[in-house]
Amino acid sequence: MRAGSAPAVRIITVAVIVGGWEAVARSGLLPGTVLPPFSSVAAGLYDLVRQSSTWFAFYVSAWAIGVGLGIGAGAGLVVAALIGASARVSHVFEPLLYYVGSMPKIIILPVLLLYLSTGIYSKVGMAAVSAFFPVAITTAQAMREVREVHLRAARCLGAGRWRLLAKVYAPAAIGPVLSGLRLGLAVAVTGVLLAETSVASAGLGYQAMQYYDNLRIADMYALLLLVLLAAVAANSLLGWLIRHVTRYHQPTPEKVFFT
Amino acid sequence: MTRAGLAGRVRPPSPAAAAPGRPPLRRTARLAAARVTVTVALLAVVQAGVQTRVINPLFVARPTTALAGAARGLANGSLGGPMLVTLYEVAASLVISGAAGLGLGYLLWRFNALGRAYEPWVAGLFAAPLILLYPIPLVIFGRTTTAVIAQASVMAVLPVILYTRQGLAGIEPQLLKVAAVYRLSRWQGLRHVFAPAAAPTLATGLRLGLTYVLVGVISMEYLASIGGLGKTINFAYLQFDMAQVYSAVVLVFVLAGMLLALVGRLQWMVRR
Repeated sequence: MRAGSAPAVRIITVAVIVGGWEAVARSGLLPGTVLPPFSSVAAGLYDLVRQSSTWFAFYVSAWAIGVGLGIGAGAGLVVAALIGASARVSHVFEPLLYYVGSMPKIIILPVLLLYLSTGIYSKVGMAAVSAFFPVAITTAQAMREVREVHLRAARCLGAGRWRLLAKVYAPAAIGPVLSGLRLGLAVAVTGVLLAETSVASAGLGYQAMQYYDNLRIADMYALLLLVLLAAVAANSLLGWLIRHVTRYHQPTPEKVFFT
Repeated sequence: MTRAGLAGRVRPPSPAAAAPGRPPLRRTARLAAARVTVTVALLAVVQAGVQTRVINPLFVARPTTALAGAARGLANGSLGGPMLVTLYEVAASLVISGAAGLGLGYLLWRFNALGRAYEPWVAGLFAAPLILLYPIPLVIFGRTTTAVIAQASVMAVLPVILYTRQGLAGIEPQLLKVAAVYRLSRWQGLRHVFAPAAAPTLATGLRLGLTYVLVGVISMEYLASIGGLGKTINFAYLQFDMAQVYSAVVLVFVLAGMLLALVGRLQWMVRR
């Protein structure tokens, strides 16, 4: 098929999905509480964007995500710098980080609720714990994969530990660190919003649950759609930043990152 | 700096480089011993903290209490039952997302126009917090294990699709030519050329899929109070039975650790 067919395929797909959605919802095959018509979800979206309460919820969640991501990523960088500089230490710790990082973080929500109370700080805690692991793992990996030649050259020129970190490791690892941050952002968003659906009094997750409890299903769909769009936008922005920052890097063998 | 330390810093053995030949058994055993020591030491610190009340014993159970509770719960079924439910949900989601992901990934590779059109979308969805959609399966399937499986499958199918397409697209053209020379049928080609060549990438996709299944299943169990261990944790927390919370958390770790090790083993097997 032709190279330019992708936009056409996408437009057709969107049309089919929206049309099918509207048709099925209007046909009465499914109750309106399961699948409200697309038109009412779109109308709900329009209303949501104009309501200040939506933006307040957005602000609350974004604050928790941002602060938590900062704390978690900072801790992740420190831990990675400590264990990543030595191959032996990182061989002992990395699998542990990987295993613990693969666990569903929601299971520590009860502990965070006890320590940080049910307010926004338990959400900040969720974001921090979630973001810590991807940042720590990708950074530690990146530090071990710094080119040996660069390290030797820097040592020959008399670089000490801190110089090495600042002038060799940091520029070489910036790409993977940002990739870790990107993964961290994704899991921090998940952690915060899930915690908000569980116990909260503000935020996007809380708002969605309010709509669900009041059976305002169209509004709930609209809000979830808004959240997904915002998450995808933030993710692509970071993706663009990564490509921009690493544009001078020589291609390295492909790596696979886990969350 | 000692010689070993210098050697360790100058030539970091990356996992990829170490993959073809397994590290010698003695080294593996030493590493495992070091990891166990570190874990036990960390737990001992927590134990000491709780014992001396530096850590509030109401908030954090002693690790020994949690472990004993987990063992007891397994033996009398109060935690063993939920664990089996969780295992069933995880296994079902993994099978569904694995099969669907392989099929869809194959289609996206086979019909390149579809692949080019949809892959960015799949990647975008993969990065989106899909777990937030959990009210939707609840609305559709009610508060059942089916809803949990549906949610987890949707989340996990995306990495499997992405890695399947990537694995198939990354096959060396020479291999395809060899297949053509041998006049392999489509099925034979899939069986003898495509599957083995793409297996490492597929296994990676499956492994990622597993982590997403675990997140989907446990989170939804916890949030909607349905099914297995996640529900147990939520209930125990609501009753402020922290010992039970930690015992169930231990079992989540055990279950997830076993499954991850299993899939990791599979990944190592196909990477030869």
